[in-house]
Amino acid sequence: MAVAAVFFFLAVSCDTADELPPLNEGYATTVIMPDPVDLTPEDREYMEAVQNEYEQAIAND
Amino acid sequence: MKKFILAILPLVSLMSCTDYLDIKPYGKTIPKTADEFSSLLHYHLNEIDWGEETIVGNVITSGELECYADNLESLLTQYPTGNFIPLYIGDDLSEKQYLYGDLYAVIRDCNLVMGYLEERDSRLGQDVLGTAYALRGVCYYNLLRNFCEPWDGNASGKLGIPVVTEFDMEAKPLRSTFQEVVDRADEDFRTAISYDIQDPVFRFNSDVSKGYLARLHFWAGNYRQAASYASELLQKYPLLSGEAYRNMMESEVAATGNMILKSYTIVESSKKMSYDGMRSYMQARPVSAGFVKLFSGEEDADIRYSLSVGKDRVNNKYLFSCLRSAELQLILMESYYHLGQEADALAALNELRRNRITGVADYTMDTLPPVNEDDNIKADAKGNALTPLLYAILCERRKELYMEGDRWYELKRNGRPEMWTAKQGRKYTTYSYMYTFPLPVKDIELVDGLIQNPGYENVE
Repeated sequence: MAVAAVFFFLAVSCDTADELPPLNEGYATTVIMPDPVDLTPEDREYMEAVQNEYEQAIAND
Repeated sequence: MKKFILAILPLVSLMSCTDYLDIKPYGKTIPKTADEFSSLLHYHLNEIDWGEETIVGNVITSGELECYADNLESLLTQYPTGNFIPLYIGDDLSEKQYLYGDLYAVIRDCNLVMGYLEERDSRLGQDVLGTAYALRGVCYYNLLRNFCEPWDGNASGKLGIPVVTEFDMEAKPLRSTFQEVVDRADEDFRTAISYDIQDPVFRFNSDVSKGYLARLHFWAGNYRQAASYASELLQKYPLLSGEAYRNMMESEVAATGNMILKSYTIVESSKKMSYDGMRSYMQARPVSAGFVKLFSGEEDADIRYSLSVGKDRVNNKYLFSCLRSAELQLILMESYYHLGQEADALAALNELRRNRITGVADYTMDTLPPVNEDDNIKADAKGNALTPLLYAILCERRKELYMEGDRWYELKRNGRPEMWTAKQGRKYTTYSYMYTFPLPVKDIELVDGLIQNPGYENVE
């Protein structure tokens, strides 16, 4: 009887255990960025123009 | 009997501590006196002096914002040094979730002051309360700019961020509207002004709050209020020119000239090392042709050119996080423009240019340069096509607030243009949605009904 009472009260005495905030483990934390894509010939042409403009500008400094 | 006692003992021991999981330590950690509340706020205020990343920003935050924008040419980045600075906003978007949490941590402390400070009538109590309102207003302004889509001529239907005005650790508020956040910040700043903060150690005096009110209403498209606050402050903090201006811009640490608020006013060795590091890494990314061309023909006459652009077209300016008069003048001229007062806008534009460019002739409506179609900004805050007058105002703003973390928000405010850069043969695009940072993914999962900003559906 006493043993049964102990187990009973053990079971019911923690009725506020869910006061703890939810655990954070397992939640996502990172947003995923779109994958980069390959440069097109037009993109490379533009990059070359930017580089050339810069080199000319600092040559004239 | 012995068995009965053995049964009762665990019962008593287990049931006598029903509050052992209570996560609110009532009456144990909340300050009581104005001095204690003052200490709570001074934790944040002192950080501003050394340079902090949340409230006013610092060298690192301004540098990163410049790296996301187009004043520097990311396609010309030299490696390996260039690896120490972000290539584009996509590198840092996930980290912006921490900024959100940090801002709400400051708001939490402000709410503690407002809710629990009893000594409200003493001079100290009023300064503490006023500072709490001003700081909370700044945090809501920062949240609005970073985590909400920009005003585009209409605030209705736009999402804000959760407005939290009471200290409650268990609250799970949902997003307010854009307008409600503006109203909250506006009221906070006006309440701060009503306390008339006297002790300079609190930094956020009435002038600072008025400056932020000008910024807030400018961002929210309330141009009449923005112009009013900017105009009032400019009477007290007029524009500087010549050597006085140069001295201000060449003073890395001290808040001099007409700086109303500045972070990083005390040198601390480890922070100085990281700030110097940031400046040095940014030398690996030259200034863009688009920025340099803004000075075309005026390189020698415009004091800002030599302050901004150094040998081999690398950045020459200190990175600032501050509130100063020139920004207010720029707010004033653009507000006049949007209010239809074009003559006033032109006059304010010419006044700034006279203070920066030796011997410059005033613009007239007929002599304004045409809009450069290659500029990333192609539309104004309302989505209208740029006019020569507005374009001249935007160009002046870009030159004046270069390296002060402003251009990123200008791009966001004026159409959120998509841009691309490249590294190791791959193309990285700044999409329009990236101008609005993600709310913390964890918050979205934990709070039912909390809406994430568009574009951040993929998480891990």
